Amino acid sequence: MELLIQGLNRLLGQALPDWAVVLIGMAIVITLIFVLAPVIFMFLTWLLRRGIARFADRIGPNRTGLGPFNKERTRQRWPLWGLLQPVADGVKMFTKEDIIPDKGDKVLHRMAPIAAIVPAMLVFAVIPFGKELSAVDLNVGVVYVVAVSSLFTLVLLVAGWSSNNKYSLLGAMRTAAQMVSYEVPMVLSLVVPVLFARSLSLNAIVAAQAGLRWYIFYFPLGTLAFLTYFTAALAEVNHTPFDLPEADSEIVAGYITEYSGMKFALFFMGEFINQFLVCALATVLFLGGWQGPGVGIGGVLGYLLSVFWFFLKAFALYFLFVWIRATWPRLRVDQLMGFAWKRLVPITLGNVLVSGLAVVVWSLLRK
Amino acid sequence: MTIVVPRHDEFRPFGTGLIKGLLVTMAHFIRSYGKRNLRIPGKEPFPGGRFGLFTVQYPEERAPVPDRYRGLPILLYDDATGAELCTACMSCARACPVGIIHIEQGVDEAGKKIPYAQHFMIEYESCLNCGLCAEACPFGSIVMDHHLETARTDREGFRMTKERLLRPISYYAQIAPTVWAEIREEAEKRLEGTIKRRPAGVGVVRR
Amino acid sequence: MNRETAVHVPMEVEELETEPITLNIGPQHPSTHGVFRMKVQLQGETIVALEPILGYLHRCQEKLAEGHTYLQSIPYTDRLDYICSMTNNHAYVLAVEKLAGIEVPRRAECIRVIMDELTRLLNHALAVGFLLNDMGAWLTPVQYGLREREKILDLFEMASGSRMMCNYMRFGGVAHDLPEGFMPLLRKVVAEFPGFIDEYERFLTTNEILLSRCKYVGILPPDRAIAYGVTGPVLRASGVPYDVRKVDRYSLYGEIDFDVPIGTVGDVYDRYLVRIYEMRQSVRILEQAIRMLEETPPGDIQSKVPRSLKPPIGEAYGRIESPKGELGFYLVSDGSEKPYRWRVRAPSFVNLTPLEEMCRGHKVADIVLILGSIDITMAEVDR
Repeated sequence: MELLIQGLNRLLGQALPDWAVVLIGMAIVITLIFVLAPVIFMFLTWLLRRGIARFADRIGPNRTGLGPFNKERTRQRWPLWGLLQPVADGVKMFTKEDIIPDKGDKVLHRMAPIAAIVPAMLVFAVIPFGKELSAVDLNVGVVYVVAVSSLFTLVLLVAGWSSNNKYSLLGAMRTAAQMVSYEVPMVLSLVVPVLFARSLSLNAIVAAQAGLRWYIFYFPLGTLAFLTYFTAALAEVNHTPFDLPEADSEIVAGYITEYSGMKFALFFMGEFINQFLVCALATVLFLGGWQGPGVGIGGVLGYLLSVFWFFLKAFALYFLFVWIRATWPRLRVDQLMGFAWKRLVPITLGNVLVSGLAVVVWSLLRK
Repeated sequence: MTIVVPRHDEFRPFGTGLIKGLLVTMAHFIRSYGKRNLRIPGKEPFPGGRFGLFTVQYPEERAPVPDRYRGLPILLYDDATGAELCTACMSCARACPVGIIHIEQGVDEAGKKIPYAQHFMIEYESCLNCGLCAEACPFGSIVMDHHLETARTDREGFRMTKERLLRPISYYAQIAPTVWAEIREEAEKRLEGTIKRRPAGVGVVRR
Repeated sequence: MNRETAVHVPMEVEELETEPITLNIGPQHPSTHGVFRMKVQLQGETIVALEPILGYLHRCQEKLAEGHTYLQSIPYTDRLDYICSMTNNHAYVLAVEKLAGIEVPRRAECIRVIMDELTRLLNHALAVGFLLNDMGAWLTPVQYGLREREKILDLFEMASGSRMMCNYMRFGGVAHDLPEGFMPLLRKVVAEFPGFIDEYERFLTTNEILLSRCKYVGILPPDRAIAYGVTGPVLRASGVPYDVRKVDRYSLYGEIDFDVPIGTVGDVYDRYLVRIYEMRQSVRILEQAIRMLEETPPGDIQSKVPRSLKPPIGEAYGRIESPKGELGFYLVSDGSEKPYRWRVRAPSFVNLTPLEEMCRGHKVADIVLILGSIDITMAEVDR
């Protein structure tokens, strides 16, 4: 955003006072985030459906989408990519009847879906999408991300409670328990890149990984941190193999059972955006963020290349999510919790300890 | 004689089974961009074995249907003479498990019964597609068509009367040649006898 | 996961008093294999009691058959267990042949064995796929199983005229002879099927998540299995080596060499493995049956049976090893062309009875898994 404000200053600096320019800059950035998030969500659903289909030897949605505008030729040329399928799904969600349970808490029921996407949007503000292209450059970026993304747990407790359905409440409590348990190994894995980069700012962590010195290649500490972060992140966003609370067999859909139409779509969107954010965070912390060949070139090309590299890595990680979703069955709740507390927490704690020692020893050796 | 199934209790590093599963699905993903496993008549079915896209883009492509496929029953008439093969012997009506074939035999001026079906109605909506009527018919008159898309919005449209059921033999010989070849000789021989026993002009399909 | 942690021991806590809650896993449910209802009593997460409620798919087939002739009941047997229609036909036809004393020519017996074993492959591929689906692998194992089924269903369509409601067996043989393209495609399927089973095993058998979900879940000890009258893969997974094909030696199974896989513990994992190994044995049987068919000189495929069969007065019980268990037909004839009593011994119905005992002490998420491992079809349970 600093870049934007400088640019705006040059354009309008004479006409408007400083605070107005900053305000215009903030408005533009907020609009960009509000446009970017749903577009990413739509692309991710498309990727999910086509990916899972291809893993199962079929094609996936291919009737709505880009193709020649001539209807006759469109009908013959069936390898359309189905890219407008998410739009069709969105239209379907809009036109569904909105049902609010009679005895539930109506205010909370209306508020929960909106509150579901707020933490996701807030985290968008600190992620560096490209060279100098983060909305806000906080010097405690990692702490901010962890704190804000854990607000989601509250939202789903509210959603489960306001449905007046004992199975929704059961599902919400289970999900909340799962998310809280997996926060611990996730945060502990995040500490390792912070130790390596000696900074909590996301931009600084990306800058420290220039030239293919990505933290995932720091064998064994960085790799282990990446693996544990990935596993804990799978559980945080309720993804297979940890999606028992939401794709369950006896409590139908968990905390989102009583939500229909656009509210369900908002929860769904919140979940997908969370998955993307987790992938983006993994990219930033372990895979070098927007670093890649060619970002050193000055001018617009350098910025564009950095954005390209960032999204390529983030979507590649999301493809890994899709791959896992197509392949593995899911764990039961007690096995899930046992896995978190009995296996992941000791491993991550040990990892942090050894990383700290390694960093100290390395800096002593350098002197 | 008996095999005890192995329970795979031996030690394996954690994650090998998971990785093997991932590799299997990835192999399918990559090879799904290769050939397509279509069933095309005249070509080798399922050329790709386990790999390749397995779906058919309906309605542009349709998987072919074999000769013996049992759709819904139809009645046959001879192309050359226009004579219907059905003699109203009631074999199919007796054979049908659901009892949806309703036949009324025709009579001539003297009141004697002739081998001709005055009324013939099948309730398509209740048909089991079992083919017992086609097996029971000694004249090769009622056979199974290859209907695939039979949905309608009105129930009366399912009550098929004789005009809607009649098809020429050439049509059936084209869609199910092997089945027709089995019953052709008997059917043609009996048709000659049937035509002789009918009064002139009765049982002939108007073109 | 070791054996001791499998059964939940409720701990007495002095301050908290919890009441059991009743959960209704209703007839419409994505994972109950048809319309099946269960009333489950839970103490926390652990199951205390389970009551299955059946009858949502009852279609009065046994009463209807008393108004049909013996031949007209054959399409109705297709619809008993709709996945395995060929074996249903075979069981019924066997019962009538016992009742009326009809012999079957050898070529027809070979064809019957081939169709039976193909049906076994069909059913087990689907059962394993849907077990994994209940466990949460989103449809990929199902799709792989369905893909192999498509090839076999094409074979059925070629031979009998229909993929699912085959209506192929008749008293004294089969309805039609095998068409032209059948044997090459059958050989291709038999050659490729072991590759598919190997791939399935690589994919699933040592998957750690599957192991931790399935091992020591839903254990049925062998003495309890025999007491309940359970048959089929469930019984064999509990360790009892009982297979009707080996005991009765009906059709040509006396001349065919195959093994019977049995399990040791009797949990969900054993049932899954028994089905995989049964698929391999079915391929072995198919290879031998194809050879026997080629060695048999071409002849009749149906012995002479009057169009409307009037068996002598008496009763007969004909049973076969269907993919789900022992499928039996008990027929009582009063000399006319319609049976006096027509009774089906459905394997799914009897295999459902130990459900409560298998589920007690486990968590709610295990119910669906145990139900999937018994492999029921509600059409057979309710008839």
